[in-house]
Amino acid sequence: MLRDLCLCIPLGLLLAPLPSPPKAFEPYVLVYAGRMVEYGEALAAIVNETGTKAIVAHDEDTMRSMITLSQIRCVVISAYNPAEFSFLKDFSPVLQAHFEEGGAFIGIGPVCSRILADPLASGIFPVRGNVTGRGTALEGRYGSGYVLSDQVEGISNNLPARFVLTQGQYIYNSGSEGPLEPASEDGDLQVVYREESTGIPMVIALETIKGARSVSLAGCYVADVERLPYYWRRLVEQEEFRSLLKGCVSWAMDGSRRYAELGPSADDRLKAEADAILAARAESDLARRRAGQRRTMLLGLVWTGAVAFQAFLVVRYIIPRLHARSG
Amino acid sequence: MPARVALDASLVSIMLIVLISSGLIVLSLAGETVRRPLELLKNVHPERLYAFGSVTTKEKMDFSLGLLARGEFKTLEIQYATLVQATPSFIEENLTLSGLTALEIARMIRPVAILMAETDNELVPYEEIEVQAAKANRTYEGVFYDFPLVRMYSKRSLSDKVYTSFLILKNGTGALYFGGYSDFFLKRFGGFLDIQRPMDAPEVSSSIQKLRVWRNDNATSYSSSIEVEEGWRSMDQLPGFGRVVFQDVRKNERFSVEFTIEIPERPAGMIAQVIRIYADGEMVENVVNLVE
Repeated sequence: MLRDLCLCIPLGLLLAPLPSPPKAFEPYVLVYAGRMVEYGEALAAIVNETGTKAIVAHDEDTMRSMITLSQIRCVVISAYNPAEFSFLKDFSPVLQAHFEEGGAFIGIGPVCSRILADPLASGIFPVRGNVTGRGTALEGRYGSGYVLSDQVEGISNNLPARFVLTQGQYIYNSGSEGPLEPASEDGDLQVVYREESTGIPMVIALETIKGARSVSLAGCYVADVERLPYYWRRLVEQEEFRSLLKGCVSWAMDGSRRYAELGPSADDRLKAEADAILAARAESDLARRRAGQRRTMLLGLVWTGAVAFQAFLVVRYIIPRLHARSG
Repeated sequence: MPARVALDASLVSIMLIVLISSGLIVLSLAGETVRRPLELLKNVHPERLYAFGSVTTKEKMDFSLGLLARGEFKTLEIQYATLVQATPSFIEENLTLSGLTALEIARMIRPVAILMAETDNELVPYEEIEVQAAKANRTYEGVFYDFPLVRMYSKRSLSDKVYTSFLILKNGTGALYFGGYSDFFLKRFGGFLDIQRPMDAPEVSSSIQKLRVWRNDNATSYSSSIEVEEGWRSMDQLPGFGRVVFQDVRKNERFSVEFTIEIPERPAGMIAQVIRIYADGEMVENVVNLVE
């Protein structure tokens, strides 16, 4: 029986669950649409068609916690009310850091404009809008005509050279002599589409020298009011917008450095972190074992001393008395 | 030939009983686990947060935690998290919380549920710790979540902007929800743009005026003053992510972290300060302070 037990213990050790190899994290696109949760879900559904999962940040807490993870491939931001701009303004250092690490961003609507979210807009979205243009009734829609300006592989190749997109407003940068062209010192900038009648940039692609990519959709201003002609559902159901958003997300994801570097190395970083934790625990176990050994040794010594003292008492006092009694 | 002593049988049996029973006592003592390696000496925090406390109410808002080492260990780690009360967003609509435990509620809260799914791994797992908190003669039971993976990919200078931790406390039929940062306090790196100050209020670059980390009688001091005094360090040199680490801890050593805050604005709800204490990588103590 003892032999069986001896055999069982090493077998049990062999069969004990070993730490499994790290699970590859599934990449995702983070979508933030502020309080317009349904609109965010609709944007996520379009992004899902690119083959990369989209997660909607329904609240600021989700946005604050999800953006730093290694598996994030692109961030889509669309915000329309002051509370959301206030949050984005406070959070902009994190967005900026993500972009500087080579992240990918898509900005939809006024969030691209400097006037509403200054620190965020300045680096990531180079629109710097200070003037608002309005959509018009055009070919059965309320919006603006988009015409192709610079062909960008991945964004414009599945779209016609001209189309009308639903939007209530668009924001652009204007100086004393009229509209100004967007510019960036951080990398290459291309205006993919312009507004048909004014030539104002509507879709601006930026690729920085640090390997980040962003696309600013300076128009696409929608509302959460069903009776308005620029209600968000009219935009997201439009095939041209769907193709445009998918193209922008794919282009931004494919060229950005952050995921390309962090994604594959995530397992190694996890292993290194886990090794550090295991090393600390091993040290702790060793220290605990040593403390236990010291304690056992001390107790053993006390016990031996007590037994020796007892033996001394017996030999010195009890046995002589027994001698005396028997004698 | 010496006379043989006929030893009394009862004496021998008493001696054997004493020997065996004392041996058993010693063995059981040897097998007993070593007691807590750390003792919490003090845990001080204000009951209420005041914006511009010292200017308008003369309240000093001091936080202080003191520990005594009861054993020896290689590493002592004090990990702070500061969380802000908010209204939770649930993954299910029209959820009834009355019959659910804090753990069940926590797993239905959107950021917690998403992070649990997206950071699930065996190497650097998230921490799920059952906690207790007391406020105004009420005791709350709950659960605290920490996601080290979020911290791993976050910059040290952004520790007061990225949420790494969540606290859910059962409150009658509902729950109190907090989300927050791995840091000593809110807005450690400032972020007080566009804040109206009282006339005599100083301009603050950080919510923490000064912070001191003590080991016995030696202090490492940090100040948010523009001109940092000699022997003090600036606030951006504070340990990252609210994590203070001491090495080679000896028995009876004393440790403490003390800081004073000054805030020009306060969150609408309560804040929760969660302090976890690790000895050689294992959590030995946790403290939850609720500040109104």
